[in-house]
Amino acid sequence: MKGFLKHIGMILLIITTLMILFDVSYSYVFKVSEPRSKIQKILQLSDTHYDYIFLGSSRTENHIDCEVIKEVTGKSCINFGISGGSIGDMAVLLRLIEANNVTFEKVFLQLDYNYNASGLSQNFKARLMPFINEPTVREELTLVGLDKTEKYIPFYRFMKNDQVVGFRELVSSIINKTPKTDINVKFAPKKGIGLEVATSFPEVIHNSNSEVAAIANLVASKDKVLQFFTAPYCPEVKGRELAIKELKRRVKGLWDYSNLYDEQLDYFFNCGHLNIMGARDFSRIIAQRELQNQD
Amino acid sequence: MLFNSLEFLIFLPLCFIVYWFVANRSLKLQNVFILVASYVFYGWWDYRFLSLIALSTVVDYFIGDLLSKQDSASSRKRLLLASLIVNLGVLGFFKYYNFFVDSWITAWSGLGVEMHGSTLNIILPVGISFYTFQTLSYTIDIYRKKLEPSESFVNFAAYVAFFPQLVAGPIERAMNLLPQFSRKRTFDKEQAISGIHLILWGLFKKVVIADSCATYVNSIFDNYQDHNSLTLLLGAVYFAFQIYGDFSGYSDIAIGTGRVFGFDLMRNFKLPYFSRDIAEFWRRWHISLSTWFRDYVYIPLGGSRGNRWQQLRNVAVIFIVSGFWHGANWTFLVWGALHALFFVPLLLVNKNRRNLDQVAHSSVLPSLKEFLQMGTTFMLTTIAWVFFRADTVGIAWEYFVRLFTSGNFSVSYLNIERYSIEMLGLIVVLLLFEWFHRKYEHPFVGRFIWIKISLVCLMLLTLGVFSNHQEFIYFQF
Repeated sequence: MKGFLKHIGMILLIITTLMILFDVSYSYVFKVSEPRSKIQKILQLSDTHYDYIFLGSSRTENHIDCEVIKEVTGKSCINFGISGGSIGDMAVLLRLIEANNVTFEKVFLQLDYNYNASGLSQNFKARLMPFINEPTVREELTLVGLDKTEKYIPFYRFMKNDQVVGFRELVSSIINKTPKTDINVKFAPKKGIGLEVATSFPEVIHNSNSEVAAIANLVASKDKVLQFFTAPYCPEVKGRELAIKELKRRVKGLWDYSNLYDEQLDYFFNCGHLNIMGARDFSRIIAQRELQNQD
Repeated sequence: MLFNSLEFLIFLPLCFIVYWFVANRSLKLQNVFILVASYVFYGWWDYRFLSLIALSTVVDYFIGDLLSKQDSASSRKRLLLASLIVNLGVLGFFKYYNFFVDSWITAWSGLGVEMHGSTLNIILPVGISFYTFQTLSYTIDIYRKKLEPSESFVNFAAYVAFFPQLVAGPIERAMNLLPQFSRKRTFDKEQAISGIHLILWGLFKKVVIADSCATYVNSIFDNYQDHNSLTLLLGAVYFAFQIYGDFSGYSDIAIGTGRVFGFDLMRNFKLPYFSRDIAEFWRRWHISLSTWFRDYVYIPLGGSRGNRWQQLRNVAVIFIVSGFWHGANWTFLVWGALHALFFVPLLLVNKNRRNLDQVAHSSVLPSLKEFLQMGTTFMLTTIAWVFFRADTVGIAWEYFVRLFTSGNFSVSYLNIERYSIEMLGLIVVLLLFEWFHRKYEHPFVGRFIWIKISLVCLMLLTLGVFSNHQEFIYFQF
């Protein structure tokens, strides 16, 4: 038995050593490499000013072209929309932005059926994992309930999220491979025309969303402006009118563009997303409204 | 509970400690502990289906006991029949009910007769095909007077539910495994170490090879209409390695776990992709199932005796039944039928037993002839695997039509954001490991054992798929 336990001990020692080594090296690479995700970009930003910050899901990432916004308004802008991102993700992003001394004048937050969801999206949480030892990130993750296994077992956080921050992403970071979404432009337009994926809105919109409230409080504490908006959907989406009506009752001053392109269906990539033509037109419309408001 | 889960990583050492340090004073206590641990292991997935294992255990234990006391041939036959009806009845209901109802309705509607029947929302209990065949071997062997019934109910129940091999085999014969529950087990360092090495190697095959292949396979098979010839070819090859890594990996972990507890389970895979013909492939692939069918179906049918027609019939029956065992879908039947088709020429020219030794057993590399034979056998098995993987026979057929007509052999970029050929690198690593250790069960032997262990651990940690880990494919059978 003694010989067996010694053998097992040796294997465990090899595994533990490798895990510690990998934990340190992966963390280091993700910290110092050129950013390949918006989280990495934010963590490396500091003492920067943006007039407008756009937050939301793919309907922000794919729809808001900051070049157009800048052209119309003359203001600087950054699009921090993340595909599949939740409002919880956006709340964390905004806190990280603030923690890194990035100042802003106005935040645009995209709302729709995401108003019903809470917590962090799996992908966003995974993207935060390499930075678990950064005090701000750790604090955020502790708030949402960081698994003990991810916290205390070295390298386990990378193994558990290998599709997002695993070996492949590590190599891509080391060789500085261009990411799918150009995080410097921060606008990932869709190309093509279609009306597939006709999703449906939930029948009931929740009365409140604590993360929206948290974002509103943070922006108010900085004495800045928060503007909510809803991006366009194709008319085939079930329950759209009713849900947006409910949402408008709960969120005062919402800029509702959900039916903006009901007569312009060639602006859609699919039922929930605009293509590049639609995105640029939509960005222009938002910018012009913003300009009118300033006047 | 999955072998590649954190739960099992805790469960296994806990069981080891209790088994060797607390229950080691009494064999009975060790067997009771194995039984309890096995039920916990299975119940972790769905405790409701423990009742099916318990039913099968109770029925076969008592039928086995009665069989040994009966001298009358007709009574013995009736008892055996009762065991077959209960075991195959439960298996048939859970696994094949919907298939037969659907096929019945489809067959009649093909003749223009509108039929109405309702399928049920039946959950297939994990591992039912495995433990059913295991308990059947017990009653059949007692009926044939090759085995004495178990005197201890606990031993028999532990044999049926033995957790390392309960849900995906190897399908252990009562004659091999049951007596091990009656023998005093003392800790054997070498046996336990070889068990740990097998577990490590099995994990590598499952987590690094099979689960990585699965990412590519799912992307290619789900969008086969959009892919070119090279990608579809790679998809088929990747599935061949996915199912091999998945199932042989499971078997290795099962055998290794058994050894850690002092049991010897039969080897289930012997490097099947180094086979030189289909007959050799079937002596190396899922050995516990193929020998089960050989002993309980093929030989009773007459085996290789009788005229050519009878021999061909027996081969066809065994392969088609084997296909059907895998699942209630025509795709599995076609898979079995294809293997029968590949096997028949060997039988007709009496060459089905010519490659009984290990390929290139006295040289480092295979001869050109052996290499071509292995390549041809792999190609044939891969053709059959496409039917095994596809959702319907029609889809498998369309897959091949597209593969042979696209004519485009450029490397494509898949929707998983990877190039289609990337996975080949890992497959080459596996093949090199296996080729240069083909005389052994796993590569952790010889001079560089710790370097090899370190390398495998390194690949396991960095290249293994943990976030999206897949259940073992054979759980569904």
